[in-house]
Amino acid sequence: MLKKFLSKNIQVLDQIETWREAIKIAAVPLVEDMSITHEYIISMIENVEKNGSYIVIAPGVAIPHSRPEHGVLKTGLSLLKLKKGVMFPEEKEVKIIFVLAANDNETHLELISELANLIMEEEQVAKLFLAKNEAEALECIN
Amino acid sequence: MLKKSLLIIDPAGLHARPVSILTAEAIKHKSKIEIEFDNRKANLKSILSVMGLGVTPDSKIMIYVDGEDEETALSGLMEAFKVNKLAM
Repeated sequence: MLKKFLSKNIQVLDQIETWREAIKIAAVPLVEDMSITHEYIISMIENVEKNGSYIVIAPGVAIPHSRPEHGVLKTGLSLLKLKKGVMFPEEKEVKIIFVLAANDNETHLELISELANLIMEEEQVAKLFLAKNEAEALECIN
Repeated sequence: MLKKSLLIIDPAGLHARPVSILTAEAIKHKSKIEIEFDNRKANLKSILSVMGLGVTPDSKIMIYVDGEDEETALSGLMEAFKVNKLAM
């Protein structure tokens, strides 16, 4: 499921100054393919402001997301890989951002579960951290 | 070893936020703490491990606590499940 969703939604960039900007840019492919509205981006940012950086679920990896009713039009997933890390609250440095948008709770759990299993594969993630372009990044997704 | 069966009442299941709350409680304790769902076990001290289970609403889970502080660990976890309306 991950590869199918990510095939056209990967960006590899050098650097972004702030975590808010990083979430916005990471979500652009999902706005463009009509998976989410701008409201969803605002909601993801507010979620971090309110609840902290729990979305940084492994060293260097964040999965910003919000509730289906906050602007999900259809289920989608995007990936932003940064060469230089961006700081999230609580001094957490992030280089890999998966934006998660699920239009129902069941799909949300499935996507999170698949992502978690991917992120536990150390070898794949190590390769993803080094990916120089979109194609290299996509190769790391099973 | 102690174990406790629970029913997930959070309408969204154990999504990212609840899992982060539970792992934060679990890592306070020395005991080995596991969660079982759908015949699969995960380490309750690892966010990724628990998220990998994809625990759905209205499902039954089992918590296993094993170690020198197992009683305080289990009561701390039950409090976290209850206060955050995750399971009963």
